[in-house]
Amino acid sequence: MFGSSFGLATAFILRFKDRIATTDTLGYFASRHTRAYGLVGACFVWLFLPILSCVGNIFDPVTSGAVISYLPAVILNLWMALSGSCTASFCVSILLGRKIHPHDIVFSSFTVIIFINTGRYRIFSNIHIEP
Amino acid sequence: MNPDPFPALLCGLIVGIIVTIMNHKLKKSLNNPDVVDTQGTLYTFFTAALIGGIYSGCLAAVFPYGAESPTGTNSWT
Repeated sequence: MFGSSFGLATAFILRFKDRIATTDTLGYFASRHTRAYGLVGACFVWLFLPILSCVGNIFDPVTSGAVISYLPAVILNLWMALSGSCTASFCVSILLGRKIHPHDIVFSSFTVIIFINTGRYRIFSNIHIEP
Repeated sequence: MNPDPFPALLCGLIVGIIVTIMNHKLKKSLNNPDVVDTQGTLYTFFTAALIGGIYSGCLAAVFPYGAESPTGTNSWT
């Protein structure tokens, strides 16, 4: 909510800065640097999201202190989903006869976050609200 | 045999296919060239996330939670 409000206010202020079209600005097209930064962010997602999503389940400070009590399935699920999305991006790019684009991997990785959290919180269902 | 990770793998495959096809074929046509480049990107994101989220929500409602599943990874230890 804060991020969207900040972006809306920034866009409203920048609207008065210049009246040229967005397509005529220098930063309109993605360069290799922005693609590289996107891939770095996707690497952070691959490394940290599966661990941080279930860190409250790995450590059980109430009963046993900082001791691994069991291996949650969410780590394997997240890495399986990320691997499947990246593999599908490569395969579809080969089938379409085009080069792999870095945004394919970045978009599919971040979409995995969205749909995994959607399934986690079960917004389409009221069955077993809190596992 | 642990069946839990494979629905997640199928979800990831579906999302990756949709995102890549939309990014290669539909993103430029969905853009509004006078406004901003990210309109097609938003469609690419949220269409795939909606379809994958519906499938993931159905799986999360049908399958037991991993820690409570008798065939989940909790029983490996």
